[in-house]
Amino acid sequence: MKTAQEIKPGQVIMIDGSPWKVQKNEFNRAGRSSAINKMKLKNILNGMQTETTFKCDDKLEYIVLEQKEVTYSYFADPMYVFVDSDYEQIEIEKDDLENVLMYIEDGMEDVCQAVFYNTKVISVDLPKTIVRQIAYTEPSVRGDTSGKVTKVARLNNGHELQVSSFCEIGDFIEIDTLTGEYKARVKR
Amino acid sequence: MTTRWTVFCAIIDNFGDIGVCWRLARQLRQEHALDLELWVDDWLALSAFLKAQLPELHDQNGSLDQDTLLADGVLLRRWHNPWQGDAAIDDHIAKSDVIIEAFGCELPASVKLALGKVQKPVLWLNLEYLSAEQWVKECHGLSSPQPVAKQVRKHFFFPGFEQGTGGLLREADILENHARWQQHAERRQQLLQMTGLGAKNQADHLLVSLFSYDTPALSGWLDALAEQTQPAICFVPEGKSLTAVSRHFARPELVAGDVVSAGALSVAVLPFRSQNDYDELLSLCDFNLVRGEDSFVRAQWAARPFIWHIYPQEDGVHMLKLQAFEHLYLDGLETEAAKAWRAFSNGWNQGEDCRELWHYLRPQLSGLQSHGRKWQKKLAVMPDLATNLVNFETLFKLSAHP
Repeated sequence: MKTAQEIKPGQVIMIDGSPWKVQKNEFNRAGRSSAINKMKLKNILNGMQTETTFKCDDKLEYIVLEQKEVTYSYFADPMYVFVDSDYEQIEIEKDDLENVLMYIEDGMEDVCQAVFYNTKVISVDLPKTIVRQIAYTEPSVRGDTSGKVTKVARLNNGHELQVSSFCEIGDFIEIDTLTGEYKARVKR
Repeated sequence: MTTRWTVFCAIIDNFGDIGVCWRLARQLRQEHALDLELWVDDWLALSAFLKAQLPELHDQNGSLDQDTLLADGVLLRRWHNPWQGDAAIDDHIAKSDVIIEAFGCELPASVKLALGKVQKPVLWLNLEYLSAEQWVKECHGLSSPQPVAKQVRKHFFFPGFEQGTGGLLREADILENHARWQQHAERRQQLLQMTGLGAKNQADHLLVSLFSYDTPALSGWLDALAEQTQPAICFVPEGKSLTAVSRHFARPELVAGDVVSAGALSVAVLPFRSQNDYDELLSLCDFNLVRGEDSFVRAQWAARPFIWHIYPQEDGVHMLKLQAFEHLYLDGLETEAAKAWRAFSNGWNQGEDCRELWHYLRPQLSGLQSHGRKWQKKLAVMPDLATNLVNFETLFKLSAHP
């Protein structure tokens, strides 16, 4: 059992005997010391989606699932295709990639973890830190090397995020996939 | 057949929890003709709370000597800790049409078990705290699967200031009452006479009420009231505010009936008031300092200028809630008045010296008064909390028996 607050997106909880994948888990503080978790869930067996709330300390039954290393291969609308070390193809729907979709791009070499429930892949987790290239950003602000001033940068797949103002087009940057935040500029 | 609702209220501190639950239970009974049971875990606090409004319920010692009482049509029941309900009581509760856990309190485990065995659909609600934050609208009404039984779902119900939330507690006659109280100048005079301050002509006095938590911000504000040219009378109902007031006047203790003065300021300590009398006090004052949830909402129906002393939470989370309210409340208010209100509100809630902040706010009271009326009208357009709860139950029944 885990509390609602401890459950992370991608994990699977059992409700009324059915497995539900947690697609989002938002934490909000209510009054006094109470707190609420709002979850977006998808039923693994029938694909039904729902939103629900829990007190943050509600105990939930969660299940540990089989995982396998995979790398992204290509997009065959509407499925994203990954391959494992045996070159076996694994297809996954866009909805099941909600938390990582913004980092998926052609040619990416990150070793990801595909998560299975009864042989069906239900999500893919990226490494905690990934490196992506800036496709476009406004010119750097002269003189600022502190990294505290930020600006918007667009990645090759169109995703935008805040980066240090000294970053330039073509630079490679590290991104924390759990928080979605820029970490540092790196050389490649 | 009458619909039966059961409300559970755990009193944590002060009278906010029971204040809200009592208002809600009474309104559901009186305006929606529901059978109401209100289970309260702190019988002593309930006794103190009801003493001003229902003295006839108390015995010669001023206590509530029975574990079950009928008050204003609401059946009050003592919630013993640990729970002392037997199977018949658990079953009786579980067969309610609606069960409300107020402010996230937990139903007794045996009641939950009984809920799992009931054949009819029961609406189980977690009535949450009031907040102006945007996430409230996204969570309002959502269900929460519970490990009790497959058919049992709890729903989270959030009071709020906007459409898409559960609304605010508002009795059908409260706006009429405020209009009546504010029309008659003699009501102010009666209030002053009650405190022994009514002999002189106080028509030009500034009347303020104070119902806050203990805060270092109070002292500077009292100094500011004392040094302004307009005489001021500050009414302080018995409660937590008195600690800081006593400290300010270097008095070991202040009790109901005491009047202390400094400069242009007189402070009159009032006995703990019934909810109706407190509503009237808010209506008669030119400015109100309110706290928590219950008096905060009541001040908005009184439509007088007010400042909200929000319940302090860990990590300063309450300041985010205060900002969320400010964002809604100050919309449409003239800039200078909004700046002064925000400055005083933030200063008060962060325990700062509010002396200068009051001198900045004071000239804005007439603008805030007009704004308060507009805000009251805006809120009054929305259905009230009790009506929203009843409507929610109707929809629940329809979905259970389409």
